[in-house]
Amino acid sequence: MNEQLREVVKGLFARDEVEVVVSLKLNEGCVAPHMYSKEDDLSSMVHSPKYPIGIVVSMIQKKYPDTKIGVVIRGCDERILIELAKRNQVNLDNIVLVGIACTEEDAKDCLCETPFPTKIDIGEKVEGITTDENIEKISQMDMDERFDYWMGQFDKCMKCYGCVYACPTCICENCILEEDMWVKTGELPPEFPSFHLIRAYHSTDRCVDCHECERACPAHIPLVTLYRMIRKDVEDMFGYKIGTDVNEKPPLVTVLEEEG
Amino acid sequence: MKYESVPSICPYCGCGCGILLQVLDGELVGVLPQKNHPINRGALCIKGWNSWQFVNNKDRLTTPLMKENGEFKPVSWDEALTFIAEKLSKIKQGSGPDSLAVLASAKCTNEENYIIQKFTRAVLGTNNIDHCARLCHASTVTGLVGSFGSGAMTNSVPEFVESDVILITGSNTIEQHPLIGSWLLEAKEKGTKFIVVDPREIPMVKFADIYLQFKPGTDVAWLNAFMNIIIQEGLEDKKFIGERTEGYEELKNAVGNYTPELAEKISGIPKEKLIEAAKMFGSADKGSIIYSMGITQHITGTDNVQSVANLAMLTGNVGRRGTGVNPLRGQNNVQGACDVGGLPNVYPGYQAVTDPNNKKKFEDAWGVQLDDKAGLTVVEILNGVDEGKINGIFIIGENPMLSDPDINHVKEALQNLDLLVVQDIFMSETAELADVVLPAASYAEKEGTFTGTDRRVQKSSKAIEPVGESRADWEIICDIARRMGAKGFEFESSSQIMDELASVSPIYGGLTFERLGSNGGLLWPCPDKTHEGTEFLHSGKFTKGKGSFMPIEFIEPNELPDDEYPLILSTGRLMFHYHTGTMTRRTPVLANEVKTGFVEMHPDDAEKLSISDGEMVKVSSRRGEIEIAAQVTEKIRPGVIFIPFHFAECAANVLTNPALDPKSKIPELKVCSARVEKIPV
Repeated sequence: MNEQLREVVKGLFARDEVEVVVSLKLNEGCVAPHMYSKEDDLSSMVHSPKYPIGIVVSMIQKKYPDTKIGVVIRGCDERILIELAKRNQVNLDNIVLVGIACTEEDAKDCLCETPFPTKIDIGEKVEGITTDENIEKISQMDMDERFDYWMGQFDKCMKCYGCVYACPTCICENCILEEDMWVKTGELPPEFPSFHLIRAYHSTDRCVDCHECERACPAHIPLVTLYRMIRKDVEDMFGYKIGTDVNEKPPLVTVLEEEG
Repeated sequence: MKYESVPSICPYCGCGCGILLQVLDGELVGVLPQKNHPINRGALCIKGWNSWQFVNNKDRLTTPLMKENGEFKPVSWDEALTFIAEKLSKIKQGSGPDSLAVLASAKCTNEENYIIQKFTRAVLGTNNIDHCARLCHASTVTGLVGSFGSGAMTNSVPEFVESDVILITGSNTIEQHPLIGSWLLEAKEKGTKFIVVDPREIPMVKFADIYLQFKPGTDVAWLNAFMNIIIQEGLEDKKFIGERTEGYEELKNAVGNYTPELAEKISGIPKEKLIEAAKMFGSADKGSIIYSMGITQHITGTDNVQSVANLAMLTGNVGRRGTGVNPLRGQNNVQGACDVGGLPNVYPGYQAVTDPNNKKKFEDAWGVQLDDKAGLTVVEILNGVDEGKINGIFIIGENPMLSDPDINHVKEALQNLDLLVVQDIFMSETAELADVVLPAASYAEKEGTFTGTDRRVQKSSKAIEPVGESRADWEIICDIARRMGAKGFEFESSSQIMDELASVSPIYGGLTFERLGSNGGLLWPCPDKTHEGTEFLHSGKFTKGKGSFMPIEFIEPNELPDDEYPLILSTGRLMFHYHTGTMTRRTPVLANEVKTGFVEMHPDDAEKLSISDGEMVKVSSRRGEIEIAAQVTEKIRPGVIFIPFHFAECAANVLTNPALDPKSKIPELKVCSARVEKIPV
């Protein structure tokens, strides 16, 4: 797949469709986000493991709004870019997507419902996963058991803010989780329920299920499970499907507007 | 238009987490965790995520400074280095090489520490070189060399998930080594049992199967009783003891007197719980021991460490995966600074300076005459100033004005020198006292290697140009050496220095920058270019041959509570700050989490003194006094108070006791007697 990827990118450069391409680079055994130019040797370009590339693209575009940027994306990355565009963090007009379909193994790792972007340039589309055993298990618990389960998870929290920093759609300049008024500062584990429930609430209309938070969590808290369960309610209540249509306004924004 | 992710190693603790420095057009703009890194696996702690923040802080030192009439004035590199070279030469000629001393840095790379110790030994002509390892794990090095023949963590971090039982004592692992904490949480989920023995109810206690709270400074008493119980229950590993160790009968006799009742009387640990814990550990197939400053920072530090080593040998828990004696090292390169000779008694690779063969080897390698007597340690260097033996000190990346015991004395000593040079990235409390301050490049501005706590040597790449006129530490020292007329300091890169280091230090013998790569590095010993590195030590045979049991008797701490100072003061660190705060207090998120220091005290003690939570109180000891806010909490034992040492405005080390462990010269930072008083309104 890496060879195929390099060929597609080479084509973009050859046709002058983009000035630079954001992808991943293998460097002395370490894979990391990287920006390639036309002159660069593409032989180090790889597609795995996935990184929160949306964060990188948004950062580059803020400095270079007019540059045509190619971005190598998976299904979740596309949804991220759409959510970021809704919030004026990226400009899709200057982005050319190179779509990679995730493998069956990738899809299983993420329990991903849509493990492919709208347009696939590399790889074969595999079916999404629609069952989540962890959710089924928790749904069968009574309220006391559920409470104990989540308290046990949150007790492990080291307050690294990794879930915030790794989240490509967490974009507030001043994060309220840092404010003593909402979450008492300096405490380990952070105060319950404010830290985790505020973050969960904030993710309801922007979480694209990319798993970056959970993978960045040194305490292995099943954050994706929590966010999925809350997000399902928002989907049912507002009929809002995250990461699909750039013109669809997020309910947290519209509800606030209606309330004036 | 250029964006890249530069592989680097987190500059904070000894976990050795892989980070990616995000660089946009030559500017450092963020950090991401390395996803396929063997230690942090895509995660970081709050310090790691913010480890880029201090690099561009406005307070960075950007030019050399010299003091004139009590004020610093900026000078050129040429003026500063000429002055230093001349002054060092003059002191060396006037009062002899041993009137000079150097403090190396556990924040500098291996290559830089190699250069610093080479400069001290080959150019200044003294073995008076030491660094902050003296204050954290000197007793580990001394103790484990005596017991096993090697002073390092025996096993590697990822092996913790394979252990059946882990005994954690004197290590606040979740707060101080969060990404090792991450492996422990995973181990817990996979069924590993934890025994936590600590005076404070640290975050790890929540995950303990057995928690034993004890009185600080009574480690040998409970450890001896722990071993006595194991022997009484017949749970000792007879085969291992017979084949791999010596001195068992002496140990058995020594611990025989320590009944659970006696241990309860001395340490406060209920005997039933101690018996339960000893049986649990003694029955484990794979038992691992994790410890840190709680064991080491005592006048009995070496005794404590060797008691831990005794326990591991008694139960056959050395030389196999998922077992071992695992001291967690504090700084990102404190292991490396020791490995490459930043200690007064050993050349790189722990080769004793007193051994004539080693002296000859290094004289041949460096082309100079060397001194064959061991130099002074950190606290001894400062005491040497009082005695008129030390006239000049060169300090690199250390802040003894906050990190060393009895700061008032440290200040007095540093002010009484003919020459004090401080090389750092910020104007620290120590740098304020210097005659010359040299601006050093930060970790992000240079290439080099760091050795993590599990002997993992990893390469960190240069991400940005040095800030201002700052220069890499190795470049500065090489420049001074050349100005003093020395040969052998003509390096053009860190990689060349590593090649020389590898040629003289067998444990690093097979390391090159090319081999180390950027994905987890190699674990020493790595003696030759085809060797794959060593995950766990002492497989089949101890480094010294047979492991030595050390019969050890319990000794009380140097200072005990009395009527005047009725409380035991213990010190330590917090998750959100690092050591003397020079970097973390300049990082907005971290400074916001914990703004200043506090003294933890039990509600019973607070009530006796009518002190309420948050109230400003006076804490004093025989060395000095500070004003600090009280934090009333049940997480600490009655009779014990705790103060984090990060904060200059309420510095714990004004109070601490500089009494030393006679064997390793580590000061007793974990126990002194103190008094808390209300401040009159």
